[in-house]
Amino acid sequence: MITLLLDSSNKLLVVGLAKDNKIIDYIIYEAWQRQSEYMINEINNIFTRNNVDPKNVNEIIVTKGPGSYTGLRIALTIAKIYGYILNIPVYTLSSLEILIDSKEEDINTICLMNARSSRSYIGIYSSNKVTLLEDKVLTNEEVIQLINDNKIYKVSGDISYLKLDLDKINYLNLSSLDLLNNMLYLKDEKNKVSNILTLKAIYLKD
Amino acid sequence: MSNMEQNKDLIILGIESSCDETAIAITINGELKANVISSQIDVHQKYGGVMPEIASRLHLENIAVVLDEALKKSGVTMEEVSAIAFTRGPGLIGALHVGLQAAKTLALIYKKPLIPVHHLAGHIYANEFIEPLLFPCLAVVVSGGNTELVYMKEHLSFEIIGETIDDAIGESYDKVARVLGLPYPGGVAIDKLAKEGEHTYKLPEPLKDNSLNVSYSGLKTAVINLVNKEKMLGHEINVPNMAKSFQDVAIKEIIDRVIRASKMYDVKEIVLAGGVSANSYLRSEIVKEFENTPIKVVIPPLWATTDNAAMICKVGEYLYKKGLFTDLSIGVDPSWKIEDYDKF
Repeated sequence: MITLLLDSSNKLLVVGLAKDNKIIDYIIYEAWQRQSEYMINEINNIFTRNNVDPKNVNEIIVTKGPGSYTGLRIALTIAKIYGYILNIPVYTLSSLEILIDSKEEDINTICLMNARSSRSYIGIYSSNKVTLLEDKVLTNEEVIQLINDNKIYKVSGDISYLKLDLDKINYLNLSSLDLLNNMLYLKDEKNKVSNILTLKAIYLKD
Repeated sequence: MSNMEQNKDLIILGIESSCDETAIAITINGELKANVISSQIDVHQKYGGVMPEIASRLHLENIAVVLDEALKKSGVTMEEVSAIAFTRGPGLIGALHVGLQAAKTLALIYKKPLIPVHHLAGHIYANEFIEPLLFPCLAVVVSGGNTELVYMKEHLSFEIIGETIDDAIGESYDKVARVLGLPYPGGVAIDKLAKEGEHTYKLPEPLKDNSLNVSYSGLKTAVINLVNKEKMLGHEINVPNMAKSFQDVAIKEIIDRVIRASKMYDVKEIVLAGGVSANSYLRSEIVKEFENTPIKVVIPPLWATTDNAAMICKVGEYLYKKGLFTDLSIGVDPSWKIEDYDKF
């Protein structure tokens, strides 16, 4: 059982490969606005070094948004064409939810991403796959207030733009492997795309 | 038929997503087997022009539906395809990205050669669905994003000998249409109304030099200023007359340069290409101008004047024979020059 994992919703280019629900290899690096050139190439690289024939992929897990509009469309176009042409299942996840702390039970994580213009994409999720706050756009002021009001919650994501003192909040330092393990953990029937032809991104903004 | 013979067929799958049409076509040995286009025109009409972000979103939504239909219509399987050709530019960057990812994904899975195609070369080669190009050839490329005279000594030889120094001709049509309260796309509306009007408004001749370049910005501004002035004076604009006056000058601008180019260069054939080549006045004027001359004029079929992937397949065939392939690290180029069609 070969799983291809993809995320290009933010600055990172994320390509993961799992065998029987275990991550066996990944390529992750910052590639802001270059994912269009690099992503397929990296998928090819990861297949080559693991002796995987691209036709033998059994399923795909991809982030559907929110995030960089162009970035989202890179991984989603790949997943859509891949899933359609090989007729394999595609699972779509919130690009915020994959930032959770899933290592312990009942941990809540405030997941964040820069939405520009002094705003953030935010979603709050528990490690038990419960959504506390659906993905939405808030002003950075509102986000900081929310963090201060819920000091027990973990805070996750590339939040350098908020200019917070990371020692004073419950910041989650997510490793590349954690991120990919989250994607595997969050994959379930409810995230399975029912009709690949109609798959779209979630932009949250018009 | 044996497998050997089957393998001799040249099957190109073409993908076009440079602006507001998501299109995939399949040709077998040059013959068009599927030509699927999902047009977004109704959506963009509401805004009076193409909205790049909306165009990109719709490309992602439509791409697999279009691929599905193209494969079903042609009866071709991905295994049988010889190569995948795609529009690398010029065009809207976000829109180009979607077609690129689709092309690269298919190339990766099926280990097929990938052919980057210049969008305007596509429009020129669309004429080959009527008859083979005759060289040396002068291609008159007129669209919403480009206005250029391209001299072709032979196949895949492109030399820009004249171009717009500011706006594209189609862009000026769209802007003039908007100021006259006509729907998008403006070219169609102006062309239609001009037939009912007379040339009563005095507009400046855009570029008075001896080059092969054209200019449309001044003409557009002149119309806008005139419309505003008339409105301020409380005069009603006669829209058909304004459409006719504008169209006369706009088309004369390009025809004059074509005539000049045909005298400066050895040309056996003139072909029209691009969205504005659907303009009925441009078509009739250019035919009229060159009848009874040794120069042959070829007008593309109306279906090929709008964006489509059949034309991408057509160029793809020539590039395939030339062995012009790329690898999976290719990116798009929104301002790719036709002269650099083999550099990527």
